[in-house]
Amino acid sequence: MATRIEDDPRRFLHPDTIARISRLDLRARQVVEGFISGMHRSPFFGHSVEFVQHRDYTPGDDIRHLDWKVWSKTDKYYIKQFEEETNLRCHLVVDVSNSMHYGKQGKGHLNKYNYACTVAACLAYMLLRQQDAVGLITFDEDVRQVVPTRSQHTHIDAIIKALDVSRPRDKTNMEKILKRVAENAPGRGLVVLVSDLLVDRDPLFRGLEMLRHGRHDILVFHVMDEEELTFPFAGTTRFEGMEELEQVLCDPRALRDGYLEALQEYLVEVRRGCARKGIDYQLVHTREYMDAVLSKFLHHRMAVLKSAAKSK
Amino acid sequence: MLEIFTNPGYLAAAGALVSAPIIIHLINRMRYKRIRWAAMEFLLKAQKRMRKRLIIEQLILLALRCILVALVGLLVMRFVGFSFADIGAKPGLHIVLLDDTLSTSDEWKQGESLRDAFTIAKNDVLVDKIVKGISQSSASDRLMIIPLAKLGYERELQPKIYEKLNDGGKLEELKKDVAQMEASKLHVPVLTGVRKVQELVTAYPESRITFHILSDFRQREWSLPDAEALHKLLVEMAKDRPDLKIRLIDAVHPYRTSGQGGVPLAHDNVGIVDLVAGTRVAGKDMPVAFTLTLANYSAREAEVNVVIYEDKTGNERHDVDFNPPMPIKIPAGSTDVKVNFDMRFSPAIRAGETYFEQISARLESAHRGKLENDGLAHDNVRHAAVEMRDKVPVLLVDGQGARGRLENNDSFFIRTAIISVPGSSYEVEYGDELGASIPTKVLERSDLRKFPTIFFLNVREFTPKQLANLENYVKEGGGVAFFMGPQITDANYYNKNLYKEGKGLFPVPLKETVFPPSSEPLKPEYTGHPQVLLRDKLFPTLDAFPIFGAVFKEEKQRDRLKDLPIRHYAKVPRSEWRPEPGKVFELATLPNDVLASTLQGPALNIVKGPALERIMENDDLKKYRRGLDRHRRIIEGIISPTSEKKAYILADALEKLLQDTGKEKERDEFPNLTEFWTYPDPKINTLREQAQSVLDDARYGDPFVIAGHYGKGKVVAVMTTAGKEWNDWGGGSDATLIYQPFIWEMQNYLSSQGSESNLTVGTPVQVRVETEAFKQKGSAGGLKMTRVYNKAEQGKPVKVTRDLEQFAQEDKGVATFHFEKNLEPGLYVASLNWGEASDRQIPLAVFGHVFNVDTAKEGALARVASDEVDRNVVRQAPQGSIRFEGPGIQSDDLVSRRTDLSESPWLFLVFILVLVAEQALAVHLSFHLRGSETEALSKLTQATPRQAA
Repeated sequence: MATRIEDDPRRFLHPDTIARISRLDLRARQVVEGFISGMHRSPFFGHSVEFVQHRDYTPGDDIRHLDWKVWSKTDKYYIKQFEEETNLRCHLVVDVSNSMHYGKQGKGHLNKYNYACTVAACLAYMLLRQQDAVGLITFDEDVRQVVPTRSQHTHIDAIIKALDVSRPRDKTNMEKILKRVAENAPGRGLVVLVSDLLVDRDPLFRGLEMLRHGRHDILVFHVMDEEELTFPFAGTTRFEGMEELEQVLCDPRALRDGYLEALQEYLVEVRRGCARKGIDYQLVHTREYMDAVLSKFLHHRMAVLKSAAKSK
Repeated sequence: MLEIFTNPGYLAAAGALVSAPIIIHLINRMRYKRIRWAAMEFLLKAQKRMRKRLIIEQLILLALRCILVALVGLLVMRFVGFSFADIGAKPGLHIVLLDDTLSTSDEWKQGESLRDAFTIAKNDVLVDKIVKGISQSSASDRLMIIPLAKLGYERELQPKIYEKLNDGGKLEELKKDVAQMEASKLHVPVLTGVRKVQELVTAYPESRITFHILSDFRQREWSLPDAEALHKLLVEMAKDRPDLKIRLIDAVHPYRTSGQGGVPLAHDNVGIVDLVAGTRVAGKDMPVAFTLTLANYSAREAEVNVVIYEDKTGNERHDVDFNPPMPIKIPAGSTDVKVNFDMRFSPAIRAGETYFEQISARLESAHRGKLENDGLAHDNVRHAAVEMRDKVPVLLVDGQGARGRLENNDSFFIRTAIISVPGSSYEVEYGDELGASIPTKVLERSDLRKFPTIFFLNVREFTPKQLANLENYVKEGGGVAFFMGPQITDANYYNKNLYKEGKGLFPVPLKETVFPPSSEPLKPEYTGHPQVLLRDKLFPTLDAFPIFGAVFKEEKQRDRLKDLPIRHYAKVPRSEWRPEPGKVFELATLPNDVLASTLQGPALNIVKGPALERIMENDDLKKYRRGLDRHRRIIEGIISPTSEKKAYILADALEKLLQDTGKEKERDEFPNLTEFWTYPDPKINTLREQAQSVLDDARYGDPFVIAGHYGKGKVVAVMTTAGKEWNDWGGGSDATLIYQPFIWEMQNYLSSQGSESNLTVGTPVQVRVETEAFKQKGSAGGLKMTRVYNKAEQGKPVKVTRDLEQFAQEDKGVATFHFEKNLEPGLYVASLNWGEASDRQIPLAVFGHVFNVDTAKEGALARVASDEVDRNVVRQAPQGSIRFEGPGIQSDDLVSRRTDLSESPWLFLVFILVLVAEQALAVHLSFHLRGSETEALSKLTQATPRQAA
């Protein structure tokens, strides 16, 4: 039986719905709250606050975390310790270069930049809600904004403010950027790269390699516009490069096959490159539901926490 | 056709058309969208990778589209005037000779409606088959339509050429023109039309000509011997131009079919051949005799009523007594049934005024209804008009002037005779009175036309001007009688100025102006022989015998001629005189009064010559020997050198020899020699003809009364005096009793309507007037003629419509008016006036012309036998070049369609293949988001989460 659209909680995760919300913080709250309300049926429920161990009570501990059942049996005070207390450090690295500006904007559409910002805001909101520390780096040719890693709830404002002022400009220099990210993220952490990856692959992979050397877990959200994936143009068209001066006058229908072929090769190359380096890679397009992104992120977070626990 | 390719205009258009896809491509290259694009890397890679393939595919697509345009051009070129079939071939030209003469109005009932041959030819054959065929054939085929009747009044006709009939607009224009065509009332021989087409065929050597004759193929025009020239011309045309095709299509019902032999059925038809008034000019209340000639061209007897209508009022004249009475039966095939009737007219006219009384004779059924089963309706009506005067003036020009009016002189007798015509309104005027004592000076007057007849009595000579006026007067229809007399003394003058070797006014040459000499008058001989011999045997009937025919209707009146002493006469050199047949007629002759012995040789050659002896060798003929010997003896007696018998006695003897029926009871002695002369032996026939010739030579002496036609008028020459000076005709003999009837009938003959009254529609008319004659009355502006047409309709007053106004062409003082288009039956009245005169002004002169349909030539609806045309035309020409069919002929047989490349199924196949290839390539090169591609996109973006799950 088909679910009515009004009853579907995922409706809040649809890009069309999100695009109608102008403020990024509201947008993030909307997405995350909508996502969590939909988690009742999700197998991932409760993992974020999972019990790990007991420790002795020391004065100053929050008595809300006392395990009263253990006290009733042993008459001793123990504090319950949960995963959330593992203090995940997440670095959101968002591409704000010119190429991210591509795509329709407004009237129910999100371009790549807005989509990427929304993704970053949602992740930040969700992480802060779970007591994790989140930082943000935006970049184009160089690093544009850096928001240090914090776990306070109010930190979301700083992140959103940084995203909001990070207007897309210039071309991307990925190796340089990732090097900066590695420098700015000491210690092990989670690096989430949100970009269209329209860069040279070698610098990209070298940058990612550097991050991997810093023992970071890396999650790549490869954002592309639907038109970039399908190339649905017809009629004589002059394509003008957004980051370079090159331009092509052609009949898009005639070039479409070649374009898709080149795109496929590129995607395969990127995916394989990431896989080879143990980097989690997810291609998302701007018409895609946000829950895919959030689910992917949660999966990855769990994996990171488990591996961290094992290493202890 | 190759000029289409070399024509810069066509070349540019074709080039532009074929290069249209390239132009569209270039325009599209200029009109592009702009998109700021992020993923330029893939685009550049794709462009680099697909450049060659792309260029090749695009070029192939472009080429296919260009070919498509070219193929479409080939398909439609035929409709815009270009045909591959025409390349290297002669362009087609169809010449249609559309017979629209009177006989094609032949109508019949088909169901409830009436059809006629012209409509069948026009619609069923011309439009539905020929035009339709051409419109579906090669676009370069042209069509000319020649309405046959138009050639009757427009000899230099340049027929309109219809081209590109595959164009709807041009086809409609042609159909509109054809729809306006109607059968005419004219007669024009098909031969005239074929000759015109022959000229056109010669004028278009570069064309492949098909000549269609859409006609009714009547026996009269298409059967031998009359059609010999037509047959020969058609065969000659077919032989001269091997590519010429001639199609003879008979449109008459019942329709001919292919291979049909024999004579097809034809519709019955009765018509009026002629209606002629006894006089051209009549006085008020004077009886006018009319003669109506009827014809029945059917195979069965017809019974009809003749009804006379007075056209002025449209009322029927019930007071007409016909002879024979109505209804009248016309035997099958008879074409000369005469009906006579008299009419009197009493119009309110003033002295000197000219008025035309117009009547129509109409045929009705015996029960006074419309004629049934009658093919042609137009020939059932005949119009006639008589010029009416208050008094009819007759001019006497007497060489003796006033003296001639004395008793026993010439003018005296003529005047007495003329004014004694019963019921007449004649008024005699004298030349000397009108011409200031010079009798012939009257001929210089301008109003000479008012005299229907002029009598010249003993007139010695004329001035050149007088003679010219006189000739013009007769040419325009006047009647002139010449009586000889002692004042005429110079035969050479008459021969040189009046006879002009047969081309002049006077019908005979003169040998001696007086014979015998004045001192030796001929003595009357009362031998019981006529002293003037009538030449009635030269005429088919007594009615056709001018002047004397009416006088001697009663046979006993001829006895009067036995007492007609002619003492002197002017002698005609018979041996030198060669009268033109049909133009000059010897009406009466003096007996041959030479001695019979002068004809001894020819006479003996008949009765005693070797020819007769050879004939008599036949035993069957020996029984006639005695009879022949008896006649021989008589003739030998007459021609013996000692005999004083006159030649006419010999003539009588020879006549008896030829007509001797012998005695029934004494056949041995008196055999029936008429049997001998009719014996089927060519030698006897020859001998009989020789005998008849000698008989004529012996009987007929010098011509006495001769009639001739000159122009539209008539001339009669009497070789003796009008008075008693050279004869006792006017008084003092038995013949005196027939003198007055002779003058009356001469007056009637001279003033009777001649050929000008029997004008057929389409005949051009010319009127000539002496400009000088009207000068004294005139004003400036030149002479002009205003003509009106009096359309007569049964039961309605005549409808007068202005026909035309024409200014004269003047040459040497003679103004000439030409009236070419006389296309409707009825009376046309032309009034002469000065150019600046108003219409109300009394005209200087009035001329009337009556036109009728040519029943004699168009009324016979019998059709030619298919075999005859087949034998004499079709089979004489190269095989297949001439065909003779009915309207059922197939369009393809009339218009041979050449197969065009654009009609070839291969062209269509190629077109479809190229179209399919173009579409396939276009689809291949186009963006079509297939379902599989959408799925692929979904897989691309969702693969990772599922894998993770």
